[in-house]
Amino acid sequence: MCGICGIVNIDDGQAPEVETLLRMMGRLRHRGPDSSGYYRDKQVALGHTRLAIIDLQTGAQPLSNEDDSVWITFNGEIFNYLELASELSGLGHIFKTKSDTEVIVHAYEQWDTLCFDRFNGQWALVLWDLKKNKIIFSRDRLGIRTLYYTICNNRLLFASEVKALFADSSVKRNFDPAGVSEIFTFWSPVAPRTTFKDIKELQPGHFATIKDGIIKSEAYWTISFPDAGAESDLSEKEHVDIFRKHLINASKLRFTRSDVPVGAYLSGGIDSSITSSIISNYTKAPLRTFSIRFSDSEFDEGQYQRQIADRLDANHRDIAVSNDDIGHVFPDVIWHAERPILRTAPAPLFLLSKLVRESGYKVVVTGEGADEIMAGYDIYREAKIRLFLARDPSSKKRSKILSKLYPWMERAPGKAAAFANAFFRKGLNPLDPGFSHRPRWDTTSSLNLFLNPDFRMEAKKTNVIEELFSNMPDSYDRWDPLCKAQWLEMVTLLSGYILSAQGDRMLMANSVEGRFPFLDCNLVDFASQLPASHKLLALDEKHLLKISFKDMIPETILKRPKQPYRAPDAPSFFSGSNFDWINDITDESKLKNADIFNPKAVFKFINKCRRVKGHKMSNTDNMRAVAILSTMLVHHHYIVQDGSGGKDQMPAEPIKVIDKVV
Amino acid sequence: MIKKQVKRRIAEFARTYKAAKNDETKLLLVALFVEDAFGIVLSDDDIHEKNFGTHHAIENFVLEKLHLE
Repeated sequence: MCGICGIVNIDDGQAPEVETLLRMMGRLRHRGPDSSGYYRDKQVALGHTRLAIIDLQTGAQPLSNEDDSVWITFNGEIFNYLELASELSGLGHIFKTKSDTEVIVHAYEQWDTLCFDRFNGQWALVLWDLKKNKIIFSRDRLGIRTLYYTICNNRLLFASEVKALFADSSVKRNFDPAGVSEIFTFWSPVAPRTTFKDIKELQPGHFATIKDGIIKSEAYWTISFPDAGAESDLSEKEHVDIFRKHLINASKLRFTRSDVPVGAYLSGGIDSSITSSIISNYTKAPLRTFSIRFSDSEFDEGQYQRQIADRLDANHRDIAVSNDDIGHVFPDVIWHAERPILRTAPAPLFLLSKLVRESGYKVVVTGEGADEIMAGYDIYREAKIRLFLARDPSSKKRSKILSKLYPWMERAPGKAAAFANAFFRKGLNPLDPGFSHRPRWDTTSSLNLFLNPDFRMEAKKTNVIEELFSNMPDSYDRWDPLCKAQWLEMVTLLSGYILSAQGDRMLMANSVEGRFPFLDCNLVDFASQLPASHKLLALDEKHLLKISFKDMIPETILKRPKQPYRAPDAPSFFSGSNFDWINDITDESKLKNADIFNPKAVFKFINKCRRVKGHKMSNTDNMRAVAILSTMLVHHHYIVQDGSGGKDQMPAEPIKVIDKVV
Repeated sequence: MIKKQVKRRIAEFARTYKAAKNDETKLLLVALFVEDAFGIVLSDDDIHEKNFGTHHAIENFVLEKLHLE
């Protein structure tokens, strides 16, 4: 895993500047601290910062094909590279290295852009085809790795992170009100839109070609489900056998395809327990695991983490995170995340990846993706129950099922029946394409009330929900309601929030690569064909996953109520230390200058948070606190300041230089 | 859906969910499953132990509703 960046001349202007390229690479140094490199000719410059994981000796980038007519800068892993290399060698391609990067170059030579279909991995890459005078961008199917770009002064600039684009001072740094509106509705911007105006993100599962200044983006893969009733008709037992085989293969592949040791995260939940158990059972390498503990017992899962670590005889380390710890690192977290966030959950993950790195590891396998592909989130259960209520609104019996929702929550529906009944019965229109997510979107959208009138009016010009609906696949209406909910969750939240703000950015902040067996392309394709009842059987979430691996997981973990990963929100900022950064960014003059929020409303709200020390606040108020503070931090880091985080640095040495201009 | 598929789905459900005798919430879980899996819309009167109290009863009820008995 690495950082990539570059400059493409759209007209016949001067060759890309080395100084700008090096500054861009320097801003990605945390993604690639082991070495760096660049290629430059009169039209194109490709930069690379390397986190060396595969082929430590000869895998430096950028690299090329046999006759130097195709160059690449690549961030990620192609896990099936050995199989592809063997096939390509058989077709006459000659390899100079043992890296997965070179496999991409030859695969592109052989199959053109159809090569992306053949990759099982996680990637963002840029190819420069000199013979065809064409640049190709590509991103993995589900958006594990990121790729941003912008056009400025007849040059196209691209990078793994937006801060590298801002290393060119001519790139304008402004919020995109529609991007903020997406965050204040879906929790994340939806690619190609980003938080910043005129900065685009290549969509997951897409490649783009840039030729003669024209950018053409095309999907090579999309999230899709069969029509309701046309799902796989195999029995549960048959599905268990196939699913088990796929997940074991996916986990082994991600654990063994590395030239450095690979560790694993253990959350205490089912997903990471299963991937860690597979590694322990099916590989010979010693298992090294890492966990987050919380001082606040409401969030802590330590007893479950210890239980599975002991069972697997893992060399286990954890980090205890206090409310104050979260408040301390939050400005750094937002500098890395580059977007407003609505929960503090990424902050402990930032601290965890630091522990991983300090323990001498730079790759971890995690359980991300299981909740999306196997229907683990509470939102799926919630939608199912709301649909159940909608089928007979006059029923006297049905409301009682609400007691099954959110048992872990302090104010669970079972404990506040009247409130829950009113809340979950709102907007019960099964024909609404966003039926499953409507309560979340409505709650989140209340954040918009804090925006100042002008910004809010700008944001409202784009109806982000209608825009999302207009991008739904034609077959969407024919899918099972659970599949519709899965699609919405994957499109709005998976790539931009789970895998990026909470995933890639928090890992790469400390130069650690994440690998996600549940997002293996073969597993995802298989899971999408399953009947809904094999994923969510009545209210038993991730049903097939649990029965597939019940022999490997202690019953206490298998049967514990689903507890989503959460961290303390408002108490992290207002219950302990008096953080200078909060006083600074919520100063009335700063709020006025930022011109995003209504200063009076924010001032009043922050005072309320201080008065109650962040405690006993509603779920929505906790979200408001994080949203306001993170938005103002993004403004501070990227609009007021230049995105450098204080100072620019040089990319890591040694620097491989291929300069055709000098 | 044919009779064999209905029986298989109910058997799969039965492996995870115990019988819903004397438990109103469990009856509702069966109702949720029956509506989801077989596209039947139930009345409050249908959600009753006589229909959902045992797995055999669920099977009979669903087969009858789908005219597959």
